[in-house]
Amino acid sequence: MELQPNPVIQRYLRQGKKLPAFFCPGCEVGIVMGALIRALNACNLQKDEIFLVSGVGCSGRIPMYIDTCSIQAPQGMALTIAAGVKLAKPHLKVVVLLGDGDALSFGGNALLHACIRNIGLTAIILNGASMSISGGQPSPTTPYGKVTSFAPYGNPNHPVNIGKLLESAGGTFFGRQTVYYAQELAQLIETAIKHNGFSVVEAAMICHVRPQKSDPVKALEHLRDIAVPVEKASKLNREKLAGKIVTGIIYRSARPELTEEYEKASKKIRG
Amino acid sequence: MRFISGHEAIAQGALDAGVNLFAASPEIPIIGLSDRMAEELPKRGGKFVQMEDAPACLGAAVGASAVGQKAMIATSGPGFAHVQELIGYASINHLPLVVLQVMTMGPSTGLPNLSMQGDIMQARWGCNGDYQIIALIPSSPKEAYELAIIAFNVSEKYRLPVIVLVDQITMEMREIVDFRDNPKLTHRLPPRHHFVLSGSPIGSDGMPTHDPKEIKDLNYQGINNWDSIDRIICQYEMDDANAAIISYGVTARAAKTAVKILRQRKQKVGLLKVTTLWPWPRDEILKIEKKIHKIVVAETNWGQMFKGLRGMCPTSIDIRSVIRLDGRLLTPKEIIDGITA
Repeated sequence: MELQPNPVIQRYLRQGKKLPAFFCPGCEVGIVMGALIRALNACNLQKDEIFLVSGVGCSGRIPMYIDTCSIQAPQGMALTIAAGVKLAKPHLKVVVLLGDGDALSFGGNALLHACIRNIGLTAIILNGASMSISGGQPSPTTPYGKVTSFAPYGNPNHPVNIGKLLESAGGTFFGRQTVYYAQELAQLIETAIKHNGFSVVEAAMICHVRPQKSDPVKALEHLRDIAVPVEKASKLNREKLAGKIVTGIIYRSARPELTEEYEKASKKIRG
Repeated sequence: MRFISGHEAIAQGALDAGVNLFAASPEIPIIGLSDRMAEELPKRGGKFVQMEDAPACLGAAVGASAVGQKAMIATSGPGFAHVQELIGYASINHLPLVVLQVMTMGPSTGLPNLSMQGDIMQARWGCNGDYQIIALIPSSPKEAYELAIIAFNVSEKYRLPVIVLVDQITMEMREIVDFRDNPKLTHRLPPRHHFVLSGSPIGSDGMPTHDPKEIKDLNYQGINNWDSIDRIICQYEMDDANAAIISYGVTARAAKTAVKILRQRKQKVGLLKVTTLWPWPRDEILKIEKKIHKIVVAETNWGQMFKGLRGMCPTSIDIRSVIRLDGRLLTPKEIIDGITA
């Protein structure tokens, strides 16, 4: 049986790209890219209405395959550049693709301030729990004790909970999903894009190449087993949730969005 | 015509140039300018945005410039060191924008209320790798007003970031500025369709490329423009001069007074005031080298321009450096002593 190209994927992919993609065989970044494309299609967005900004790392290459205006930012600058784009052209749907290292280490301040401002961007954090492109060094989400090249005697730090961090900074939308549930991830990204304000989606994934090589199929099965939907998680106690990932929309609230506030102020001044 | 400070002059220049987005974070030497922009820009449909730090300001400007708007940031002192990465990014991606840097006494925090021309070389070579940049320096609020407009025009014409270096003292001094004779505006071109910008060289297929020819074409793009960039160099009493003072920014004002005094003493001394610092005013300096035997470079740093010029001048020319490093301005007397000693 010959594989037929998916018309949705074809609609948004850049033509004439060198495929297979830059990602390692079995990489989960492609699942997030597919989910993003399906979400953009479900929102019925034209290519000219979308603006993609990415950071450094493997995930930074995603916009290069999608046929929209896109910027790959230097490390830690993706959200600030996206803020400039959104302020300049508020009608654009700006989606920012970040790795966990870029979002929380280099660009932690930018992430915090995007929450404080509640600027209308959608950030997708591809959380592989390590800085994979440079060899799997610890990132702020790497589990305690994990052996990596920069922590050969075990990671001395405990991982950060992105959702809780952003909630305290005034985040208005946070959702989490593992890449095993690709359809659910696409729906979550769709909801996040439609949210009015700064929305963050954490896509939990595992890099099966760095720091240690593992089986990509087993990695996906692991992501299936540790995912607990948020409705079910509320009934479980703390011990049962240890080592699990709570998925779904973790919180959502309404607060005035930054570019709308600018628009309001501008109307008031200019009459 | 108004009696205004450098802050107001630059703000007015940027507004007259049609700036759409101005980003700043609170730094003492740029407060006057930023306050004015925060008040005036929304009245004209533009956006003033306070970002968390200096690189974030330039990040916002890069984003706005990428979608076809006129963007500007203001920073000062060490803030300029922080933004360097994105200046290189804007340069290789050919994004027109204006970076205003107020030169305060350094290094590091230094003394933000004193003046020092220490960022001349940093403006050119501050980012890693090698790239192209244009830098301008005014010596009065009147010139600052004009240069703010010219900076936007030049950045659009050559599609490069333009750095406007301003001495801290120029920001604070007040002078009469005439807003009527402002230069003609160059408008922004719309952005390309479905572009890819990246810190890496992007090949014809929209992906980072390792192809030597593609990388070379990207890195040399615009180098033909580079030699023909309109430079602003003012000559004062240079026609019959046999010695020249070369200076820039606020120091050029003391140099001008020095020339006046020396002319009264019947000494044939002229002044070359450099306004376009980068690209280097090579042709103009090669031209004057033929008729003069002595050059004094007056600047308030360790001799950044002097060291560059020394390599360009034939050994027959007596080239000297007059510097001051205590955060105070050079006086005409110090420059005269330098030339007559």
